[in-house]
Amino acid sequence: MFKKTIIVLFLIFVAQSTFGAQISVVTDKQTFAQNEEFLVSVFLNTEREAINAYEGRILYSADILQGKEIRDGNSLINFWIERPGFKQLSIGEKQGAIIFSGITPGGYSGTNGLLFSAVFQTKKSGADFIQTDSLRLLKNDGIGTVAKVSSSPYSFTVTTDFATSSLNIEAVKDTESPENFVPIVSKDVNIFDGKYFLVFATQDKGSGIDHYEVSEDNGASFIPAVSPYLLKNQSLDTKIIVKAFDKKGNEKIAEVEMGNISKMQIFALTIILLLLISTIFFIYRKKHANKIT
Amino acid sequence: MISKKTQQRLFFTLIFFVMSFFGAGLAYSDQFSSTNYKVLDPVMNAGGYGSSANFNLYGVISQVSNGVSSSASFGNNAGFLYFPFASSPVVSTTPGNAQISLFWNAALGYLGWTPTAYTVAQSTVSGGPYTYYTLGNVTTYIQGGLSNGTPYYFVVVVKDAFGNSIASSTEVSATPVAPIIPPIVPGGGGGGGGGGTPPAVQTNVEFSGRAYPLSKVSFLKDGQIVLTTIAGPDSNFFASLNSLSAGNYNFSVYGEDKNGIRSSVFTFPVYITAGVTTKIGGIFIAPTIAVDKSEVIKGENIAIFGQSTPNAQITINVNSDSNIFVQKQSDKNGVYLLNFDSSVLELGGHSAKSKAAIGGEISQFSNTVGFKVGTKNISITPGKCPVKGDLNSDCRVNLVDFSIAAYWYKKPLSATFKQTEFIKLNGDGKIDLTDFSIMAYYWTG
Repeated sequence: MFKKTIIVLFLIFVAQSTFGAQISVVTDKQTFAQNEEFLVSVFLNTEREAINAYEGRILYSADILQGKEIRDGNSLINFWIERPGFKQLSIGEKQGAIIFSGITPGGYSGTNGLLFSAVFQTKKSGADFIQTDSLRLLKNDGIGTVAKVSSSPYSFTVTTDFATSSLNIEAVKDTESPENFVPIVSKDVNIFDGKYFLVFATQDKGSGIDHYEVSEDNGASFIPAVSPYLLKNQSLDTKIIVKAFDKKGNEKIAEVEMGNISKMQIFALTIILLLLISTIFFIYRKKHANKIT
Repeated sequence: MISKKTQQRLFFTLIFFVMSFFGAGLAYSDQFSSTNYKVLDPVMNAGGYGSSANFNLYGVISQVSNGVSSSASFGNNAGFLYFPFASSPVVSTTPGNAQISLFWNAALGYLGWTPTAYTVAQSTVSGGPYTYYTLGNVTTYIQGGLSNGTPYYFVVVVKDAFGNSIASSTEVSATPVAPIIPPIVPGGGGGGGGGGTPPAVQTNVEFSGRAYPLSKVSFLKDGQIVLTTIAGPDSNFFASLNSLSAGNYNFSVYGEDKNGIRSSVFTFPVYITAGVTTKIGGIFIAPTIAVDKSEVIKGENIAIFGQSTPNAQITINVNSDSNIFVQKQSDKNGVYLLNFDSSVLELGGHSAKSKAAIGGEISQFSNTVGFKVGTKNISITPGKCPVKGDLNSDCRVNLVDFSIAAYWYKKPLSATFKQTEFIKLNGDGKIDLTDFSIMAYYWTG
């Protein structure tokens, strides 16, 4: 009886020790034909914890799978430190990985929160699995306490059959522009030698953000840019425009609100104007006074 | 012949009765003045479980270490009658065709209560009577079979493992809507005329809840400020955001009190459905909190103060060897003040946080404010700027600070930025995920 109790308690404690956030790699089936496309989604269940920072890798065999597309349009991660993308790891060139890191300001607490999805295409027959690696989830507690996290590998088999194109994953239908956003010009002693730089970020709930372009010549020409972007024109005397493009080519245009800089300029102009008016007034008064005397 | 054991029992029973008679007299719950003892800062939670003309009593669940004594991690909380509690869920409603989807944030349990299930109460009349639907530990529910055009009212009730109701949301409402059918364009024949364009389908979200009287309330969409509003004199606020896309959003809300001190950020993930207005109701912004000293001489008072909704019951938790809970009432302006006697605290660092309760709604805990019990008094003015994460010192933690940190991510830091990182982040001389987590916590948008 005592032994049984010990075993039950042991199981309870072991079970409890696995509690914590869970990352799930989810797809709808486990057997595929060759050349077949399938969608893998990475979900987070926080188990009542509020989590605000995430990083990790999704590993797959580059021998069997080819990464086709990352979909992060509906991610719970609002700001990517490292936007997820397919990479080849140096450890044996057949190891592919999706590396990601990012944050959710204020934290996320819930079940089935989507981190991102990936479209893969099978290359040859075989059995393999997709697994997570180097996962780190940090609690929304102000000091970045590491949260417990667990994850199970997702195993699958690729048969010797060949898929028809009807088995391809349907492309995301997206005709909407990315969300409105407000680029900000700033400068700080800690980066770009204290020169003016531009920051921008937005989301696209459909296909996800593809890239940004910046114009510093009143919209005459645009160049691809990433945030933070060092401004070429440090005198800030031309209009700065930022375009955000989603993966379907829809764009959202945002002009820079000069914010503090504009206010400072207005303040400086106001001071100059006041000084000018005061000077004119005193000169006029002096002349007027001389005439009277 | 009476056995020796029985004699001992009789002796101790006699001693007990004698001590009871001559010792502490009987105390009644409405009689807190005894000649033999005094009760300091009693904690009586308002509630509907027991009632008298003078007080409400939840029941005696306190003075017991929650959990079981065999737990390796239970804590003992000091003070008179402390009560476990759970925060009220914030509920969003999304109307559909003959259905309403409900989504709520998981209630947080404190001091031993763990929310383990939810019940949805539904009515066609505001205030009930309700029909109850028992659910598991889920945070979504779709109620189908409803009549389009009829308003429905819902309350989400939080249950503990024993089925007790431990918290509830405020009542939220929604009206199911029939889908808009585009007008059929007649084939051939021409003519026709009239008609005009169908009304544009808007995708909106509405927020409502409590902050502080006449306070500024800021709303963040996916981490960036999109809206600010001013709460009414009763501290209630309402705001709406239009022309959204369908998809997952993280909305965050925080308030600024009359001294410019910001509350903790309340974040709410929600899926926005195209073509309807999603309502997020019952947001109860946590109180602000500040102290008047960064260090207090042991035995002297330290003022712990802040703002919440008017006439709310504020529970202040001072962290010590054991947690100390003290209750105060906020005044008509929502202001609360506790002059806390530091003699009960050990020398060293301590922290305090607060939560508010009114009319069955319970906020989450506020930010935490730190202070030291030592050998001198050091007065401080409550800081309006975030304690951490504000890398460019503009009193905000937003995309600019994120970008500065991202610039140094996994790179060796410059001598200047090392200083900034030491003060504003975790001070380990590098920028990694922990620093970003700190920024995400102190985020203001």
